[in-house]
Amino acid sequence: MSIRSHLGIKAATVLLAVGGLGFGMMGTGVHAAFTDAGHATESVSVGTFGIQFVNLSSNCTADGGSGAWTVTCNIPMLTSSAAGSAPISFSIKDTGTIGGSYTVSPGVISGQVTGATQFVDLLPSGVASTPLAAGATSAPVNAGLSWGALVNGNEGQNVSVVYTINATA
Amino acid sequence: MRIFRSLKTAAVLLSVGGLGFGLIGSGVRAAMTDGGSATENIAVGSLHCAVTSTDPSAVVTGNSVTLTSPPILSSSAGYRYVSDVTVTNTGTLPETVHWTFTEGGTLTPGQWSGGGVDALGNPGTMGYTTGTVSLNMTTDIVLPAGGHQTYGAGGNGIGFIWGPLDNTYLGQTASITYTANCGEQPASQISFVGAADAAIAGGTAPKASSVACPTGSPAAGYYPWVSSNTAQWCGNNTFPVSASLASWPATGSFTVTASGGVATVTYTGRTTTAPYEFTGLTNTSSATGSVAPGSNNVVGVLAPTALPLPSGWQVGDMAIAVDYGSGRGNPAGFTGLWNTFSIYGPSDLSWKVLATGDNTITMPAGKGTAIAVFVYHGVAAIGASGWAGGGTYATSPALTLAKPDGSSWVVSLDAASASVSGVNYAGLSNRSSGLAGTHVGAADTNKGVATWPGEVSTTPASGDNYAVELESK
Repeated sequence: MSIRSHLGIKAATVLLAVGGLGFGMMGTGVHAAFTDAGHATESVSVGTFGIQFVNLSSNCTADGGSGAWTVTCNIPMLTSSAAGSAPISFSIKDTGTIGGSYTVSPGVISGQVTGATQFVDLLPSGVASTPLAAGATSAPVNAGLSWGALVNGNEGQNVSVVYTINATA
Repeated sequence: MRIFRSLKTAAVLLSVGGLGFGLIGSGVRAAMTDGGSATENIAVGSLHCAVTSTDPSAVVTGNSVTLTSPPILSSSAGYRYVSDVTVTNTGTLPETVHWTFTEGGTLTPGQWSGGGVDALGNPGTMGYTTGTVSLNMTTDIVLPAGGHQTYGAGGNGIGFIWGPLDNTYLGQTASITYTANCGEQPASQISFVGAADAAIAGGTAPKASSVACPTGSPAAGYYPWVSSNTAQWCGNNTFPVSASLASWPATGSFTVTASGGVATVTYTGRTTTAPYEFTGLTNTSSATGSVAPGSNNVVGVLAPTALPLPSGWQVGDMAIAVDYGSGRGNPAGFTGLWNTFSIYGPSDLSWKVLATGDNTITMPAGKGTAIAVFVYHGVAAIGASGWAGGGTYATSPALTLAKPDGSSWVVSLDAASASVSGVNYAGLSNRSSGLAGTHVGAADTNKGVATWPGEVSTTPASGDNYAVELESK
């Protein structure tokens, strides 16, 4: 559907260019001649590019729209002071007809409590620019948080980690 | 998706425009982009509790309540209980409540009951109480978030109690502080290792050397019992029988003697020391009626059955064995937990902490159907257990857990003539569906629980049903 509307715009652009050329020829004088004429039309189809998050780990849901896709993972409340981790994973799928690449930022953690056990990003280096072919799905991006033994200062704490994904064609 | 397409269209137009400028002038690079974010949210629960009392004499401070003895105007024994003491979980996590008790006032340690002797050399007689027998503060409990527990309701069991007082108590004061220590529910260390089973060996060549008398109902009357070279019918009975074997009289009395571990069976003038199996015995004195042919009526025992163990077991793991169709005897080295000679079985339930070499365990049982073993890691001990028989569906009996701190697992085990290996209890993990046989079923909580109210499965089976508490290390 979007390609069809692109074609319409392209066609209009070409027609304007041909018309300009015509006016140029008329400005040089008038000659009697048998003439015949025709015109050539070039149609250009521009592909699409976009991504979606797929292959989500449990506790995760996907939502959002172009440029602002989201994966939100809500981990069940921690009920033990034992050290642990809450890994999450997702993949990035190129849903368009143009290949590109993607990056994943290191996690930005919020909600840490001073003096309490700190939560640690499981993807501290993020994911460097990685090619992604049209229609392809990336390798799983493994992220999440880990933590050591929790202390009383962690009680009632809410921690979040956010990863930013950028995809470019 | 509609919004997405519109944005794409706009991006394409911008791209074309940029290209045009590039051809004309300085050049502008454009790209198609998309993106988003991934967010993980984690919340940590909280542990808080509060102690309250409706008794005006009780002084509450945080998690503690302090009781002060009333004026005692007599040397006679007496008591003074408060109306109640309640602990409430005000946090968001289940928590274990452990009470501690602190004596206060001017009494010397020797004046407290159990604390020694007072200044006159008499045993201390001032004491305090911690609840009733069934609900006592000395037993740790688990409270769910928002849950509460009241002790001594109705002025029953929380407060002071004293014996005759001597002069050393004159002018003294006494107080007792009850403190609720609310902490994290201990994590269970238990995990399921695996299950295995085997058909119990059949045949017609029993040896009467190690048959144990059945317990339950009927308790006696069916089996010869040979132990330490003495022999008797269980319960010292001789009993009338009918026998289908043509060469033996239909009725009469057996006697059994033993020597060197070999039983000699004498029946109406005929004696045999050869291994022998009686079929079709009928107990005419029992209200339970006939004995099922081929399973309950074997004199002696058959060849041992090798007890399989699942791969991955380790020394120290807990093995629970269930046999169906035998009802007498446990695998070698196993401790009997239930020996059920019910009309639904018979069946046996036993356990063993596995040790080096246990891969060669045998079951010296008599004729039966099958035995299955379930192995768990991280089990400290067997706690409570129960039996329930009959019913339309396999039913796990309720238990009063010996260790109700939320770390114990409960295993439901079923032995039935019907197929129970696929037994389905809502919320429990089936552990027997992969067995070769179908007469033994098992399912467990797969997590620590603080209570076990019992549960009815959706699996039609009228058999022997057990529930066993596994206490966590």
